[in-house]
Amino acid sequence: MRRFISDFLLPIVRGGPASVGRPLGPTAVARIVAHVEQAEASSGADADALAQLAACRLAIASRFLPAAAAPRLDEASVRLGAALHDLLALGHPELGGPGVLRRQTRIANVAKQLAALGPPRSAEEAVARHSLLSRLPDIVRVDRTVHFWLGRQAFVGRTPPRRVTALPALRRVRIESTSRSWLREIGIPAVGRGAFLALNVASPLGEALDPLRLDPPVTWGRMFPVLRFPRLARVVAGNALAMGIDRAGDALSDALYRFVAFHDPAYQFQASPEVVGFAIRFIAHLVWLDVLFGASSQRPDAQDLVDRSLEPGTDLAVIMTAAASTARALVWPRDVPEGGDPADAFRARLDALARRAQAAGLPRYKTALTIMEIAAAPVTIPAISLT
Amino acid sequence: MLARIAPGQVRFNLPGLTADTRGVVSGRQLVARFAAIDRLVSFLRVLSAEQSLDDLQPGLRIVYARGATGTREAVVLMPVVSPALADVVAHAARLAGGQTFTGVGKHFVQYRDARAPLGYDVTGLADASGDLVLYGTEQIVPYRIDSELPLSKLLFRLSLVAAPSRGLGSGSPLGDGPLFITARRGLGPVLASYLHRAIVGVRSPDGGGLRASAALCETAAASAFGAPPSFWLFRVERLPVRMRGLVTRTPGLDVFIPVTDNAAVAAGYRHPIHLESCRGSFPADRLHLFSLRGVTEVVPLPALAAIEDVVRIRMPTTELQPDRAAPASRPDLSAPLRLEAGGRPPGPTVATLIPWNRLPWLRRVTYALPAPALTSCTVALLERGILVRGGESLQGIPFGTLYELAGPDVLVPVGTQFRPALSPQLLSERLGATQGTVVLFPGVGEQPLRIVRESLLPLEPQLLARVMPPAAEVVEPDAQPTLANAVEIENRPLGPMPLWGLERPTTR
Repeated sequence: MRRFISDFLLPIVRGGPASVGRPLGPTAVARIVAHVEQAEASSGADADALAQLAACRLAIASRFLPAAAAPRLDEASVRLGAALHDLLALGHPELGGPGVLRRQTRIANVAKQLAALGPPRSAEEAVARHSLLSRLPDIVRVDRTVHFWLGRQAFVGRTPPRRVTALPALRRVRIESTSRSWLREIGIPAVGRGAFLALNVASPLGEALDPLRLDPPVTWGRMFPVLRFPRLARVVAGNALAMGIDRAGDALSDALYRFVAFHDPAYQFQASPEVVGFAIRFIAHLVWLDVLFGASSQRPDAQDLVDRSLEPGTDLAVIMTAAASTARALVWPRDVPEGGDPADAFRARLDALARRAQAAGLPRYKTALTIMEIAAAPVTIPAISLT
Repeated sequence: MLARIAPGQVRFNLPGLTADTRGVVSGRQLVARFAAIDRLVSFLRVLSAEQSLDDLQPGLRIVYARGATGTREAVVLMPVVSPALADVVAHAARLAGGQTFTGVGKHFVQYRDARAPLGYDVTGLADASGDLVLYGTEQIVPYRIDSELPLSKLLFRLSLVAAPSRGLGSGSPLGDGPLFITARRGLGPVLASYLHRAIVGVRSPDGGGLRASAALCETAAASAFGAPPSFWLFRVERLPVRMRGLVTRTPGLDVFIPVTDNAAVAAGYRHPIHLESCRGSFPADRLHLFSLRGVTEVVPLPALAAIEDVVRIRMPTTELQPDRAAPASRPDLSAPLRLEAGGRPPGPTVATLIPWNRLPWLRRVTYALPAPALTSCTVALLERGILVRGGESLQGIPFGTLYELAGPDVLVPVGTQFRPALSPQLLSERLGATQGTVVLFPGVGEQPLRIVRESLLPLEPQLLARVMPPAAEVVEPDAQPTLANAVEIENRPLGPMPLWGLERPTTR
């Protein structure tokens, strides 16, 4: 149990080499949970590992909730950690060979079963789960190829043993290392996709903070469980603004089309007028933030008619223009006055977005108008029901 | 009935008509006819604005005449002093809705107009009985004069109208000239002393220009058994702006603005007729005061005395010492120091004494005071209250008993002064206000207090004596974990049967 915490969970949170070994199942997870409870009650090396893990998770959680308490290594955390371990084990080189698909399927199903926790029920729970999985985009695998006088030997995600690299001058040892991102470059095997999506459902804050992820693409149905918490919604909005309103807005706008068209798997929140309206107002809120505080507010809007359809921001322009044309309440908060400098700046931004949409976004404009008509239905507060 | 005067015509049917150098025909008199008295007043107002009515004297007569139909009309007879005057009169009469005739004696023909630029002549004299026969373009009307209304009587009978307000910043409505102020009998001495103090208190070499004189006037008694009502009449020159509100808003005081040497109109009002052009209507031996209540005639013209001679001299309250020689001891020359309500303008407020029941007010004010005000203030906690003293002046605390400096570190209530008027330095020395000690005179007739320097404490520490935030918990920086950049997968050997014990997928 100690090796799982100190050699895997702690590096997953703190950084460093994370040991991926034999896959873990529910039985192993139950034993780990029981051992954790005993270790918390006593003192020793196990307790030190738990304390270090809690401190690292607290350092991450405090970025989102400054007053957050140190997350416990509860059953949900152990299950998420074990599910991630099993997903990483899918690419273990020793599982290759004949029957690899059958073995990977078996591991992926277990991982999916472990990750099937459902969305978090509170902002603190969401942040606690995210504190364990926040380093997912930072997981890398270093593949090393050792060239020596008789040939070469490859080590996938392993440090070559000393016997292989011994006498480097005599044996003319040369090591080639390639570091690749596990999430973006190596990717998750197709059999593990379901488990990974379940992991995202259980910890949606990571997906909300990474809207530019290509595969699997960001989904509104998985993000709503954290966007319904105002504190976390502000964090997500600020992160999107830091990424760039055009790129983040395009990703979220593109996800909106899939969400409304029911292309995404069915999750807790379905594409209803209230939910779609919330999504559109969230995107409009990003534009408001960019108008007020973003760096692009200092940049003069382009007035020429050069086709900028390949540049980021077109989908955002189409969504915003369609929303402003259909129902002003979708883009204009009720407590913001019509007069004043912020209102004038936002109107100028809407005009620029409209010019952009007209120049390069017409193919999707009709679809966007349809989405706005769905969203323009009377909205009740809160926009997203917690039940 | 009427014929237009032709150019070059020299013979006229109506007696008294002559042609001037322009060829315009007029007689020696003008007659203006008005159907109602208000039109007559309008005519006189317009005429008095352009022409002095005194130029029409003597000869200006206002009569009530009754025509052949029995209607009573107002008729004004004026001498033709000059041809230009006749045109002015005709223009004013036309504006007021009246008609102008010219002639002499009894017969008057209509004055020239646009249809007859040189005037009219009659074709023949009418054999009509009456005091006046007016030949108009449409009819000939004889008038019999019923009564005459002297101009002065008309001026006295007319009511004042409110003068239009000139708005803020356009100067005081009282103007900068002399004013007449009437005061009821009991207010006269008070006003006199007030004006006297204002004159004495101005320190400029010329006294600031404020001059005042007064007289006690009596009006005719309403009955033989009652005392004739009297009032004080003040003539004030260059009344300061700060005093104008007092004299205009105090009941019992009425302010009049002179329009002539012996006529004045109530401030804020105007006479319907420009009285400046009717000087001859006001006898020189009397003063006329026009107010809403009517006209007050002061007869004879009051002899105003300088205000300094009118102010009551206060007699000493103590009895004179008996005329006895005190053997062997020399008489004491020292005079007891007295604090009196002074007439000089108040100096800057430097301190205030706040009673203890007003302490919440002081607390509330300190929240609003800026830092420089707080740092410059000192306080002394006395039995009767809190003495707050500012630096050069006390700003921001408008309540309590305000004090000014009569000398270095000698505080007296604002608006009071010492008698005899000693030099400030001598005053401070004799009262012991040295080396930081402050002498406070709480009020007129009260015993002074000496406040030693140690009792005057800075205000800031007194306000914040109890602020002590708790100590904050310091977090050791070494306890914060450092997070490395990357998480590197380290695949461990799985050993034989790596999936042993792993649950198999359940078939759906």
